[in-house]
Amino acid sequence: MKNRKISKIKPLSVKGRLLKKQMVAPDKCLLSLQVDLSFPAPQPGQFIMVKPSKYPHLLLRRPFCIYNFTPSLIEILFQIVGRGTEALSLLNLNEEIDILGPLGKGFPPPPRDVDNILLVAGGMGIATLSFFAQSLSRKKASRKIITYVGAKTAQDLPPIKPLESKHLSVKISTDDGSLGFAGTVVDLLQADLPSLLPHKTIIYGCGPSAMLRELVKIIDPKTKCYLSLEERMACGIGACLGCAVAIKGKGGSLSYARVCKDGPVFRSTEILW
Amino acid sequence: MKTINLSVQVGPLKLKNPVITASGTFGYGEEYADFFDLNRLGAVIVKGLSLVPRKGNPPPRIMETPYGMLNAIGLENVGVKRFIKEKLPKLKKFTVPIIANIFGETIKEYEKIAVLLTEAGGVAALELNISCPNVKKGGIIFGTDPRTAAAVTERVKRVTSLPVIVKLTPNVTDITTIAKSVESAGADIISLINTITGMAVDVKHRRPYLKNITGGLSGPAIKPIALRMVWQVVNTVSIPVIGMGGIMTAEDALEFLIVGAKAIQVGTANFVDPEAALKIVSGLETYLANHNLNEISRLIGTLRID
Repeated sequence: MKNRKISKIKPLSVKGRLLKKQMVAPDKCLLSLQVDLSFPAPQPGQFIMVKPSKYPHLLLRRPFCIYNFTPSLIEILFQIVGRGTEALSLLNLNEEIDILGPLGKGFPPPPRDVDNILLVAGGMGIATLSFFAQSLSRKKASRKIITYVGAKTAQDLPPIKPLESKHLSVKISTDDGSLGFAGTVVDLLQADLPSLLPHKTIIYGCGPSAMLRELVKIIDPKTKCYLSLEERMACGIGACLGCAVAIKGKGGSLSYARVCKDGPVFRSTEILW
Repeated sequence: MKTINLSVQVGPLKLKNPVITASGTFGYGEEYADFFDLNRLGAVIVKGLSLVPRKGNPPPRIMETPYGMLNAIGLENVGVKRFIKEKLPKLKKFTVPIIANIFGETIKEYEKIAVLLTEAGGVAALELNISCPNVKKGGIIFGTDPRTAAAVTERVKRVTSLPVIVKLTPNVTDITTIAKSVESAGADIISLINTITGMAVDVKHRRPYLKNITGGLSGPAIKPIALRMVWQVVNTVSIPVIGMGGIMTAEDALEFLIVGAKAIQVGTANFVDPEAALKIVSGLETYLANHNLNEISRLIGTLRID
């Protein structure tokens, strides 16, 4: 928990409205939310807490990483997994949405002299990494930015269109081999590491916790690696202590950090699996 | 236009308005200072403090349930000493009364925390969380046994000059017995209700949603129960009562005031909307204006029963 900079961007609590809704797969939804121009530009890796303003059966907002941001427009990409995500996916155009953000501590920028930036996404983990990749690709620097995207099948593959630019490259894996490398995204990365690691490399990951755990296993602790974590949240601003994650405290003993405020991005070596 | 007076006298506490943020839902105040001026609240109650820091329970700690949420945070907190050193100085910059919620595993611990906070200054009152187990008495929950509840109240009263609020657990057969018991032990104020113990199961994996298995239910789901208990207690004791449980809007707050609560606490609503407590303050103002009333205190305990 050393050098933990908490974002200086002051979060706002605002009303947005649904401008566009796309089902990018039968269970995956991309929402474009219109907000006031004054909404602060989020750092890659930050998130927002969202809830339909008028949906009567939901109590808490749900946290979503930012998939894309342009002034007055926030995009979130998610899989429908429960009541909250379902309610959002059923919203009609122009309906009001309560938005709180930007929240949390995003991805620390890579050092200037880095040669390889590896973004490793398991499934919907791509949402936050896609935004990060695009922001990295706009900076003038000679370095490789490779995004690894893993899905169960070709059908489950989240959208990767924003990553198909000349400064970025994408590598795909599917568990069943229906597209790209056959195996997990961690297997795919592992196959590449020997040729990449001789150069200065930084790794950023996001995905299901089982995938992140596997990722950490194959990375030397000396290689800088940052992971964006997920946990159920109530408030999103560090008050409820609901989104605890076990980390190494003083002397390596167990301690809990808040995913919402101390994260969602953590150094891989901080986390206790 | 008439000036609207929201101030209330809650036993020894004079509050600018009856809206108080509930312990455990408002951090140490600083988390919400980004969103509004805390001085606009009646009072702020900080996250429950123990003698030594507590790590809390392993995750998952929360789960949304119909119109409510379950939590099993496990009383994670920085401990009273770090609170006094790091959090209290920041809170002292505000003029809003700061109430410290405290809990212990033994009566001795409650006493020690009370003494430290009384000596520290800058705390307007103590709220005793008696919904935790007494390790010296086989783990019985302080607040479910009238004698234990009275004993902890009396012992804390003896060591502090601060007003003592006793926060009751609803997980009892008869809330009025406990209320009478803490009143006779010297409590200045009673607040209720704490969360109701509940549970939720993920049928896909046949696992409890919370690592702790059970948790405390809060939110609109518990409001009718809370209101009933507040009404019962108001009719039983003569000390002032602070009502809470599922208050999301000014209308919810009014229900509690009308049945006789002198003030109310806003809890889970703070998670849903960081400005919820402030909106309740303005909503109360609007209500009074619309009903041609100028003092909120005249509304308290005015339930009409034909």
